[in-house]
Amino acid sequence: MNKRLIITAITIVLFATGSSTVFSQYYLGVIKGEAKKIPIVVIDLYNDTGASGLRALALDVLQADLRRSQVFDVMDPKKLDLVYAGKDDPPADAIKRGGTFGLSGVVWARLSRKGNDITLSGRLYDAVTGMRMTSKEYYGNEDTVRRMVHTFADEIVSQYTGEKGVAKTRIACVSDKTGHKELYVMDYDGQNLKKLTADRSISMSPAWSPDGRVLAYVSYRDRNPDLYGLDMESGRRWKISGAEGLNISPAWAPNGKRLALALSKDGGAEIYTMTMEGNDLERLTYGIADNVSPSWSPNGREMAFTSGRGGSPQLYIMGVDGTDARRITFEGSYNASPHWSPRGDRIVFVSQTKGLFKIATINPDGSDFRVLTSGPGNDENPMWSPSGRQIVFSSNPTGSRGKSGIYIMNADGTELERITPNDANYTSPSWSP
Amino acid sequence: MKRTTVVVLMVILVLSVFTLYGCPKSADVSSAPESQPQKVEKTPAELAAEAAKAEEEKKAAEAAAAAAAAKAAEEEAAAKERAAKEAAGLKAIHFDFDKSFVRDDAKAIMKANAAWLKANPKAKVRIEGNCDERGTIEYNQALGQRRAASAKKYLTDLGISGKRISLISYGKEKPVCKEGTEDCWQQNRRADLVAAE
Repeated sequence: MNKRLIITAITIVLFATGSSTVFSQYYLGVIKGEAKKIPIVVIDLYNDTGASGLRALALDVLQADLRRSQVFDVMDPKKLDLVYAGKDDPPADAIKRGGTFGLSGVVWARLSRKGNDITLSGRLYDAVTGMRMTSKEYYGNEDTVRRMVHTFADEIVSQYTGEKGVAKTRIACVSDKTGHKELYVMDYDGQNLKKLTADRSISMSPAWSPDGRVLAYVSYRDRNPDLYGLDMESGRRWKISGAEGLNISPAWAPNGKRLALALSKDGGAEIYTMTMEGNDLERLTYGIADNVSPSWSPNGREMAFTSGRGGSPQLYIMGVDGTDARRITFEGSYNASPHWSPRGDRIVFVSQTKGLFKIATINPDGSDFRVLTSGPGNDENPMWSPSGRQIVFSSNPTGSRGKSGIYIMNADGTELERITPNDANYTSPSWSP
Repeated sequence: MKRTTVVVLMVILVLSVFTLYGCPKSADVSSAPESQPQKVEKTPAELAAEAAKAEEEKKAAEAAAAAAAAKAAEEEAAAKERAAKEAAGLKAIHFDFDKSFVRDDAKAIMKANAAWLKANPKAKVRIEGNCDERGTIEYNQALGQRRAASAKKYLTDLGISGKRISLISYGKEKPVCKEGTEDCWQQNRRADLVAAE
């Protein structure tokens, strides 16, 4: 009797291990999927502008935006036989047909023209009732179609989640396209890359102010790593901090009133805070080891940072007055570059595993350490999107000799996407609010 | 007896469930960006897009050429700078990974550097701290600063005035060798001593 039980048990285990490669995919989907995604379809984007390329462009951007939002499961209207080619708003029965396929939302849009002006009319319908949930008109020209579509995509996200979408956000980064590391900014999908500096020096570590107006960044243009501010509206640039030695790794307080950074003017690198004009300096850390890369908690009360005080670089958290410092990473010999999620519940950082630097997340109390990326390259400078649903970072996927690019992925490491081309190195990403 | 078997069974079942769940498969960074599907027939719009793309590629090629030229110029300047350093009689020293102390094999070099500075009392020296590519930009900037400061302390201990010495850290921004090997990393974990007026 007992023997038979044991044999049965062994058979079950063998079966389970033998077939784990097949089943793990299925189970992973269940474990990793947060809330269930909302099924939605863009039944058509009617192009009434005469410019033939615009339909494909706008449709691609809209579907990619909805997919990247992490909120929707974007279905293919052709596969559902939901094609609608009309010039006017689709009739209720066409929309409700989507509802019978289990869809929650149906999106339809039209581009029309008046002279050089282009209007995007965006509609979102509840697929079950056929009722119109939102109806918006966006105005611009042929060059701003992407921006108009991004705005509409964010409106759809906001209708379902009440949150601000990320489709209209931008990512600042550093690129050596010109042979020098200059500051650039692009849309969150890697389009519209624009050069911001022409210092012919080394730039790094850009950080957006919470209102999106100022980029703080580090430059060696005066033969010292100094901290600068760049006003993105007026173009004004000023030196925030030019103390002797390091003026590096800036991070804005959530209220935008102060900046945290690392200075080495008193010996090793220590964390300080100051105003964005460089006044009212306050020192937070003391010790013989280096302290760099501060990141504020979203409530503004605490700060995560990298410190070598334990003999190797590890993550610590302290109060914003410098008290109550505690170590939160204990796995591995190199954990650095923390960024606190805008939702407050996770911290993303760089962790060395098997000799390579990978993106990992952890709870602020030090529990639930997870490595999110794999592959042969080194990953760096991870940061959350303003919604906390995505992570951006840089990586040189083919190792030392390959070029670095900027990647975005879900907060759980799925749906990795490279957003920069392979023509130069792209590093130090910073996601705008 | 029967109860223990049931317990063993339970343990085995729990273990098997763990095996089933496995480690979460993490994202593979090595995946290349998706390529565009090839189309056979071409509309005028596509031809126009192709022309635009060709134009873009041409621009990119020009930019790449400019970048290469700038890089070549930079490398030449760097080579000149290195030659100047050698001529000045100041030599770089090297460090262990994530460490900033002056190693035994660097002590003789630092003594020779101090002797040269004593023989040339008007000369000033800029110590540039550098790191290998491993680790983050920001932590390496701090480490490079620490290496430069460590080299400075060695010189001041040998009687060189601190007023003659300035420090800068380049972190991992200025490697002399770009291979991903320990030999190469060792060359990059260094403090350069640059004579300055």
